[in-house]
Parts: sequence; structure tokens; C-alpha cells
Amino acid sequence: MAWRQWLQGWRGAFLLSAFVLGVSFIDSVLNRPEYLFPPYFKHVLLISLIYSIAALSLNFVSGYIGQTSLGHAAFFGLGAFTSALLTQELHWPFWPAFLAAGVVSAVVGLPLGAPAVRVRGPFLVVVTYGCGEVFKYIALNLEVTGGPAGLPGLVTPSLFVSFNDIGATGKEAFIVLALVLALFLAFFSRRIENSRVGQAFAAIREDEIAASAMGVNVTYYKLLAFVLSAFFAGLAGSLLAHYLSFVSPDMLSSAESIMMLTMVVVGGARSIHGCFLGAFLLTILPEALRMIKDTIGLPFDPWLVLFGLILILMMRVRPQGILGADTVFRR
Amino acid sequence: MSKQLRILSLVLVVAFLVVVAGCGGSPAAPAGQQAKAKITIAMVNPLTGDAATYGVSHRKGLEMALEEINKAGGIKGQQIELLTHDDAGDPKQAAAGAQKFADMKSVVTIVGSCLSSNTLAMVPITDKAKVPHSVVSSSTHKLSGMSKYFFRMAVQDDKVGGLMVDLSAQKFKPKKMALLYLNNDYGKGLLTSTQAQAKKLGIEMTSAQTYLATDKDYSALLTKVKAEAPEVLLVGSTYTDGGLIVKQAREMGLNMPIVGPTGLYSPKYLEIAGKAVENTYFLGVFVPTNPDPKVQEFVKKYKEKYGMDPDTFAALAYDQGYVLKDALEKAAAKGAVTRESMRDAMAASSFKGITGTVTFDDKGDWVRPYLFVTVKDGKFVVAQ
Repeated sequence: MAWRQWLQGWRGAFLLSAFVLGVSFIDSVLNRPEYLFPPYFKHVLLISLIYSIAALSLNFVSGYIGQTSLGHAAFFGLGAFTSALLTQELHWPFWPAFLAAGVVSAVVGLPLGAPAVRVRGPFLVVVTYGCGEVFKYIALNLEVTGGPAGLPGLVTPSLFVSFNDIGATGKEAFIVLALVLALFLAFFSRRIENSRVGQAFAAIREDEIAASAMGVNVTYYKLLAFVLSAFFAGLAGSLLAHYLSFVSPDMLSSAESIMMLTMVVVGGARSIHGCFLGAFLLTILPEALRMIKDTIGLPFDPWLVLFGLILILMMRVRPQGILGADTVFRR
Repeated sequence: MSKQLRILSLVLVVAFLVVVAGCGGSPAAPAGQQAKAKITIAMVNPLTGDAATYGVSHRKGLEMALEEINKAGGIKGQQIELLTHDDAGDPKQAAAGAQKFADMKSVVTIVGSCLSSNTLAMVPITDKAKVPHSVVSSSTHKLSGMSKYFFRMAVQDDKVGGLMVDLSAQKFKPKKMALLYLNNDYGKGLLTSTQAQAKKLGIEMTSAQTYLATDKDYSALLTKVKAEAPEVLLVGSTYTDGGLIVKQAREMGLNMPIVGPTGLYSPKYLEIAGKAVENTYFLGVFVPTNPDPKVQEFVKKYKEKYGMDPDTFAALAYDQGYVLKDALEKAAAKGAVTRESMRDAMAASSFKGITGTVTFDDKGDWVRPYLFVTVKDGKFVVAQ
């Protein structure tokens, strides 16, 4: 796969940035009355980037240490609610609240990662799924989280307000922030992969008993993966909440967790490109199919049918994901 | 590069192109010509998923009104067209829909969604794009005064609870009442307002118990109610859970009047609760048995077109169609219809429809009287 090699590292990052920044700013540069890329396109692009961050963060758990987590949306939503409450109730500015979202998610990720030390495989799926549901019901029932309707009217970061004058639609600043974060996370993941920590992750993934026999501290590295994963998921959640200026318990739903896991699995677990591809594919396809449906006048939305079909085909044809490593697939 | 990989990347490229072509190309190019020929109204609603009944009813009612308006010559000869976006009950997808339509310059006004959460996600976008945005449902108090472009023809939680208590007090003069309410924003809004009003009227609330929308068995809650023996049981429910509660209450021998909010009014409520529905009362905006000839005409037309009785969503949506028509006509009288002129016309709305006279206060809310509805011989009727 020569082209994949070619896309590694800085080249891939450069191409992605060029694409994203091009789409974001070409209208501002051209300054024509008609948008080349309307705000809706930028909306989809931004959501794709935020989910790329979510998928990359899930990749620590579901990719590097090979554990299936169905509770990732809990961290995502936790970050969203944390920064929403900090900015709304305590009137924190966006930036410290944004960081706090990651920190709170990471701190909560620690005890939630603890079961992963003892259980794995289908048992861990049940445990993480359960944790996710618990968080959703807490958010649904607490007064302070706004109950089922959530919290509307979150602040837009003040720095962005002035920055928005550069962009034409008010989404550019968020896109740049999401891009920077996604690229940083990709870089960070790549460095981890090639480090001692990454080797330990791989050892645990391939054979936990052998890894601990070789002196790898399995407990420490598993928790580390969970905490890293939760931290970045929290940041992504905070970003989405402030972009939509709205957060609701829907963000914590198991459907959201399943979607994130699907992004990682379809794109290719352990592949950084794969996480980007999975997130973009699963965000853009539903919108694209809606367009097709509207254009040719289908009576139903083909997305759900196709979604199932994609999963079945993937599992049959390429269980390691589109860009997953071409080694034998292991659980 | 393997063959499958090539196919998959091709799919991705095609998907990208479709999105670009679908949203970038079409509204930009034909918009100029279309603006002359047609006025575009856009709807974001749950058309699939758990909440699809609301969205579909909303669409049916609005479509019927628009069809009639178009048949009668439209707005100064311009036909009205309706675009829809299915949000599947997900706020993120509702936001995407609002953004999509806000981008289309030909769209003069947006309607929907039927769910509070989804509407809350849409309002910041429609506000920024300065598109007049109106809903027939979305009852949370958080939406009041959120944007000067937002108009709500919906029932509002904070008003309904008080009215439920008021009307029960007038009709049954109870000393004790109990409440069962759905654990969502709607139910919680009802909890606050019923308790406040009961306190004001000196009626004792023996208990207020909550349940989840997914619950099917209410016997535990009803046993407690039975022990307290209130003279009126209030339910803050939608038709599915409300129907089940009424049915199970009657099976357990609870024969007191049961009073509910507007949400109970649906043919499905009768289906679910069966014979148990006698002696239940609720607030209504619209009843098809209302002898008002205007209402009868609407019911007849709706039945002919869709083969079923209209529910409140459909009736409000039908009125919404004419409120929009009124506003469009007023705006058109001053020149080409713009979003801004449409907003001003909407704010000045005063339209007598089948569900009452629609006017908006300075917070964009419709302040309105309600009907007290009951069931007789398996049919909804206005209570005497």
C-alpha cells in the first residue's frame, strides 16, 4: 500500500489541513455573493472533525489495547456538560472550561477504566454500556443539567467572536480549533504508537498474560489508555456543545457510543487515517443519502438500511476496517 | 491498493460530490428563477423514529393547508412549495437541517421541529440567519423569548399545569389531588405549575409520582394513589403512557375523574385505553366533534385526504399554514417577500383559525384559551 505510506505523517496532515482550510476560507477570500461552500457544508465538515477527535480518542481503548468500549459517549457527554455548566453557572470563560471538560472526563475515566483491568471482551462491553446508560439517566434526571431538554444558550468563545470576522459564516473558528485538536491528537497517537507506551499497549492487546509475564504493568497501561481516551473525548464533547450552543442528554446515548465505535471499526482500528476516514464517512454518508432521497423522491431514508449493510459487508470483507492493518485480525 | 478499497474510496468521493452538488449547486443556481415562481417554506421534523407520529401529523396538516392555498392561487399568484428534512428525533440532525435551510436563500421561513430538544438546537441557527421560525409543538419554557425570529403556536408547559388545576377545581371542587407525571421536560414543567396552582387554590396534592416514557406497568404508582384516595387524579402524560395509566387505574378500581394535559388528545389514546376513557378529562386545543362548522369542514377534508381523524398536531399545522399565508400576503404587499418582512408580518399575526385566534406576545408565544375535553361513547367531545 504505497499510497498509505505516502500519506503518513506530515503529508497526510498537510493534505487534510489544506482541504479543511480551503473549504473554510475560500469563500472569505473570494468574497463573492454566492458561497462556493455553503455553511451547511461547513457544518457537516465540522461535525466530521469533532467525531474524528472522538474516534481517535476511542482508538486508545478500542484500537491500541483492543478492548471494546460501548460507553465512550459518556465521556463525550460528560465533557459537554462540564464545560456547559462551568460557563453557564460559574461564568467561566470558554478556554479554562474547555480544558476542565477534558480533565473532569479523565478523572471520571479512571474509575470507569478500573473494570477494564479485570474484565474484557463481551463482559467489558456490558460494563461500559451500563456506565454510559447510568450517565445518561443522571443527566436526564438532574435539575442542574436541564433534564431531558438539556441546556440551551451556551456562550460562543469570545476570542472566536472577533475571529469570526475573518470567516464568512461563523463556523470557521470552530473548524480551525477542531482541526488543530484533531491533528494534535493524530500526532500524539503516532508518537505513542512508536513509544515504549505504545509497545506496552500492543503487548497487552496481543496477549495480556504474556505481557505481564514480560514485566509490563498491565493495570497501569490499561488505565492510562482509558484516561487518555476520556480526556480527549471530553474535549471533543465540549467543542460540540459550544458549537451547537446547546447540550442535551442525547449526547450521552448508547446510539452515540455505538456510532463512535463503528467509526473506529469501519475506518480501521489502530489506524489514525482510519479513524478520520470512519468519522468522515459515517457523518457525511447519512447527509449525502438524504440528498439522494430528496432528489429522487424515495419514500424512506436509505441510510439505516445501508448502515447495516456496510457493517455486514465490512465484517465479511475487511474485518480489520478499511484502513486497518493488513495483519491477521485478532480479538 | 485492493479492489474493495478502491470501490470504497469511490463511494466516499461520490458522497462528497453529492453533498456539494446537493447543497451548493441546486439552491444557488435555480434559486433565482424559483424565487419568482415559488415561495419556499422548509420543515425540519422527526419523520422517522420514535417521535415520527408528531412530525408526520405536522407535515400532513401543513401540506393540506398549503395545497388549498396553492389551489386558490397561492400568494399573489406565487405557489408555495414545502421542503422537508427528517431529523429522526436527534437534535444534531435538527441543527443540520436548520442550517441547510438557513443557507438556502429561497427559504423564507422554517417550521418545526415537534420536539423541544430539537427546536432548542435549531433556534440559535435560525436566529443567526434571521429566518422566521415557527413551531406547533415544543412546549419548554426555555424557548420563551429566545429569539425575535421564533414564533410558537404550541401549548406551553408552564401554562397547561395551572389550567389543569383550575378546570378541575371548577368542575369537581376537589380537596385532594394526586399527580403522575412523565419524567421529561414536559412532565416536569407540569409538576411545577400544577403544584403552584394547587397551593394557590388551597387544594392538597397528596403525592406527585414520576415514571419513564418506556414504563408499561403503573400498578405500583397507582396502588399508592389508591391508598391516598384523592378526588381527582392528574396525569402529566402523552397519549401512550396516559392511555395505559387510565386503563390500569380503572382495572384497579380507581374511578375518580382523571384530568390530563393536551397530549392525551389523540385517536391512539382511545385505542390504548379502550372503555376506560369515560370520566377522563383533558385540555384541548382542537376536537374534531366540535360543532363549529369551520372545524367540521376541516375534519371532513382531512378524513377524505388521509383516511383518519386529524389530531392536534395536524389541526395546529393546518392553522400554521394559514398563519404563514397571512404573513406572506402582508409581506408580499410591501414588495418581494424577504425573511425580514416575513418576520415583521408574523409578529403582527392575528388569524382566526380552527384552533382559535392566533396572536403572538413579545416573547413569540401564543397566549390562548383552551377547551376542556372529555370522552363520550368513544368520541372526544367538548365537556359541558
